[in-house]
Amino acid sequence: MAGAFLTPLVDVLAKRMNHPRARDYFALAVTVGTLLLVVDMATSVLGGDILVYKLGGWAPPLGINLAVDGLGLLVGLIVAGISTLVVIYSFVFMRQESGLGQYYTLMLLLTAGMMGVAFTGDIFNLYVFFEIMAISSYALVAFRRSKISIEGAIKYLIVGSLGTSFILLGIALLYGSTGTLNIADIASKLAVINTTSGSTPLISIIALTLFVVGFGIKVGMIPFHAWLPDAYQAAPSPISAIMAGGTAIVGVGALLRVSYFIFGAPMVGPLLIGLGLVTMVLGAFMALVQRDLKRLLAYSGISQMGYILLSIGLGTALGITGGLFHMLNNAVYKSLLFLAVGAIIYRVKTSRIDELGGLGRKMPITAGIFLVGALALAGMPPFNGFASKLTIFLAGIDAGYPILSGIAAIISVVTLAYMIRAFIAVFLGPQTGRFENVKEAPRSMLFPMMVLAAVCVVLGVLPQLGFSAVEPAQEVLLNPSSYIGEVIPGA
Amino acid sequence: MKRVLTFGMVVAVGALLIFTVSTDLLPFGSFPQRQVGEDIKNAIGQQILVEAPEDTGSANVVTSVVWGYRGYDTLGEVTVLFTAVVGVLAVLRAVGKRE
Amino acid sequence: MDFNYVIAMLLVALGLYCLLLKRNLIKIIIGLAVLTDGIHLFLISLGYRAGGTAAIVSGEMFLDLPGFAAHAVDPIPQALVLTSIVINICILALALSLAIYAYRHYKTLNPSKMRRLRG
Repeated sequence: MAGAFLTPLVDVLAKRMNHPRARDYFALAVTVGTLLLVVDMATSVLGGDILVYKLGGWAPPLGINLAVDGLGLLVGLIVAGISTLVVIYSFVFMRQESGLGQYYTLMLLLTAGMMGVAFTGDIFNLYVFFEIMAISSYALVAFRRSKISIEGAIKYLIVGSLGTSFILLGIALLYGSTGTLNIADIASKLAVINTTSGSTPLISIIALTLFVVGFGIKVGMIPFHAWLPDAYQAAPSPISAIMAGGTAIVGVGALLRVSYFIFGAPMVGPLLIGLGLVTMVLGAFMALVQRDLKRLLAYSGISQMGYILLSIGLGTALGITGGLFHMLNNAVYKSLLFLAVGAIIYRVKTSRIDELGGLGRKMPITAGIFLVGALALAGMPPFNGFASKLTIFLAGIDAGYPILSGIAAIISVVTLAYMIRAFIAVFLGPQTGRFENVKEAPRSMLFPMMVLAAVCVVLGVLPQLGFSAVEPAQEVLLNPSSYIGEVIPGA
Repeated sequence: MKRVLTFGMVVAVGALLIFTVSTDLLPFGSFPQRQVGEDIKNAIGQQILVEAPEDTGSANVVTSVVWGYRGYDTLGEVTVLFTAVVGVLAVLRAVGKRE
Repeated sequence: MDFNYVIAMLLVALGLYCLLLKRNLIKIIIGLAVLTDGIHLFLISLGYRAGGTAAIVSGEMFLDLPGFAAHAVDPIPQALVLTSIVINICILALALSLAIYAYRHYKTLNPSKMRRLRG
């Protein structure tokens, strides 16, 4: 069990190797190992336990501890699963690139950073792992070194490091006001401060704002989203997939952990609802006018993040369940769609919608998989997006905001419109002569896509599976005191 | 126009931060005290100052924090350094090299 | 007097100004450095005890450990800043190497002139 916490260590050792294939398989072995360890922990955490591991044996407020609760487990599971599939996908997709040693090392470091953010119980440690994740993703976006990838990476780097600096400033303010760095300890001390003074002091509000801006930049919330489509378009497709299905999810997870644990739901809720609403609506309308498939997916990813934040901001049990379930589903179908677009780019070398057409006959499996992803994204039954979006609508009505549910439903129709438009433009319609020799994507690229598509269908037909996975996360968010008690006995 | 707005925003953020730190924190130099509700509590640094010389045997308490209490952060820090080295290598690798 | 806090936050605001309003990549990166240095200064200031000594046990202090603990400054922010400085060096290194490439591609360091991505 404790071995799972050593994944960062293992990944540091993932140095470049001389045999070209050995390095691929090593990367795969590490991610599969990580996945197995997370699944191993899943059994006990889903049973309601919280695993606490004290690094170096120092007691929590002094030393650093790792704590795996429902939320961390959910995020860790998504990250480990997606990165395993993306590594398999990269075998063929990246074969013609140079510098693959660095590519796989950075990929493993990215995974390590995401796992660290998911599991850590110390707020400064969270910052350190967030930086590992951020720096490796900057380098991966720039990996191709073409004009657009350098431009995308620079924008991402400047905005992203502004965000991480804000997080550091927030941590400094919290240390200044509470004198501790352990998440559970900060939470209990801030609760004391809030109850004795009757209101929230200004410094907590400022710190919360800094955290929301900092994590919001990584998530791609609307006022801070400008870097995201550029970076997603510029990155190699597997990286876009891991960023959409991994880093964005980790950003949401970290935002939830910090905001709900430390500051409490009533303070965070309205903020998240507002930002989520704006993000959802504007993201969908910007997706409507995109001409590039990857940019379209990037904007629709922003819009889906809006759904998640909106639903979680409601603060009711149903809302949080719906939001977390949607987070799981979103990771699955969004990375599926990016991988499918990657397959198109691999065969056709372009992702501009106007240049594509009639690919359905040449690449039937990719077309089918893309359709599954598109329908799941739009929330059509029997795919997983339907179950979680329905939960979000019900939660909105249940919490007394039927208007929010109405807007969410309208946006869902808009989503269906732009996804169907993209599908028709790319896969149906007349075949142009250019694509005579286009073949189906190679098998090792189809395999990860098929796995993800299967997950879409399974979670759509049996939503109980998804609900049982997010249930512990929802409980721990609504009731952080069990987490606090587990980390610091007697607090 | 946009620049003026941005400038105004920067000034506002700066003023807000300065106002916050000068009113909502205990005055400069008041370590180890932290106001938690009505009580004054000690920051965790104080406890480390008391325990570290005997627990770790290091004369420099900062060293014992870096390598002992917060060793995992240092591991993360080294990983960040490694990441940056690999990242810079990846960005600046020789043009046109094919494996 | 909270002079240290105020100066640190002034540095943060200055860095923010550079980051958002300068039109030269190198200056933007310098702004990033100033911003984080302001945060580091703030963190270090948080751990200051009026009239305190460095958190190193030396000489006759070995005989009076409780007295040492009552007079030394907070070691935690110092450790945090140490970690954070290294992290920022890494970001700056990556940012500068990207800036080199951007200059090779676009022959300019003005980010608003790099406009390949639109939409």
